Amino acid sequence: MFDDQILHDLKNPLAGITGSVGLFLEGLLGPLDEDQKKQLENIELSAKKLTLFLKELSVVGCAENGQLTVGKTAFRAAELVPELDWIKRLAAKEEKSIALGIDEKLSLSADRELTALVLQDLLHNAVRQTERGGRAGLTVTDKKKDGLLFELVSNGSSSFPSEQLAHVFEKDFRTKHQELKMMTSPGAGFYFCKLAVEAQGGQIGIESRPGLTRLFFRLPAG
Amino acid sequence: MKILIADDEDIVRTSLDGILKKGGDYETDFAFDGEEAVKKIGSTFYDAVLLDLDMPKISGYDVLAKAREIHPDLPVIFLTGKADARKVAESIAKEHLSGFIEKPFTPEDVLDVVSKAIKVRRV
Repeated sequence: MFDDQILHDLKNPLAGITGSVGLFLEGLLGPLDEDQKKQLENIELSAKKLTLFLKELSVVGCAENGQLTVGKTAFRAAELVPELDWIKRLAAKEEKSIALGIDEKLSLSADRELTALVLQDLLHNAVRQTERGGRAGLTVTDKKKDGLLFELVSNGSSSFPSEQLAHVFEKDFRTKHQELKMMTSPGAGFYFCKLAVEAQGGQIGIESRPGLTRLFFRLPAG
Repeated sequence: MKILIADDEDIVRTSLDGILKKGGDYETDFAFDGEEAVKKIGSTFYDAVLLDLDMPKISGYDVLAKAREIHPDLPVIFLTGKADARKVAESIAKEHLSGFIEKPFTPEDVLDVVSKAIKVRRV
């Protein structure tokens, strides 16, 4: 993967973009007309995507070098919802919606940042798979001794061939299967998700048929 | 209130300058490397310091240690793009690091961490 220093170096120009664009969007530099706001939001969402990809690559690099630090704490799954806000806005721009089903009381024992990145990645992918006008979904349910089950569903017409399902979390799957590029998360995507979930003692899986792709992962309850 | 922004990247300094001035009505000052940051901390009163970790001449960690010798209660906030979690935790425990802002940041992130750090000093 990439040298971690290169990834770090990319965060400085990104900080310049997110900080300065944020100044405009939060109204600190005066009122914006609708066109200006629309274009600035586009820059902001692009920076959010880039940030996600960079963080994923950084985690993959650390995991592959045996240097991934997992800081487990107990927190409520609902606390992660604000970190999905940018994906909701992205979905709305594409005339799609997201249904969230997360019980306020459910808590887990996990690395908060890693879990938030996995959720952002998989929800972003679920939105990409969803047809215009359709709805992607995220639910979290308590499976008692099996921990919390996070499920992400999309209703796109495409699906993974059944013989490929066992391989979608492999590192080079996206590169090897260009024909399925639109079905997999950009960047380190699914490979990152597998590393991040398993580093926390969880499991990840996928089911796919025309009209419904379901990605799921389990993490210990808090 | 006056904040020192110590970062060797102009784009980061410019962005933080705008956020602090427009979003929090703070006065700002700049240091372009760790050595200049230490000098300015020694010669000027600041309400808080935003400190990049990877700076020329003296690293953010070492600037923090020197700042503590000069002003034990000065709020110091790390700007991190590639934080070593163990070293940041050590800085919080040993050098009373006030907080950290992860790059890339939003104005909300910056203003929230800075106002909390300044409030703690005042209490």
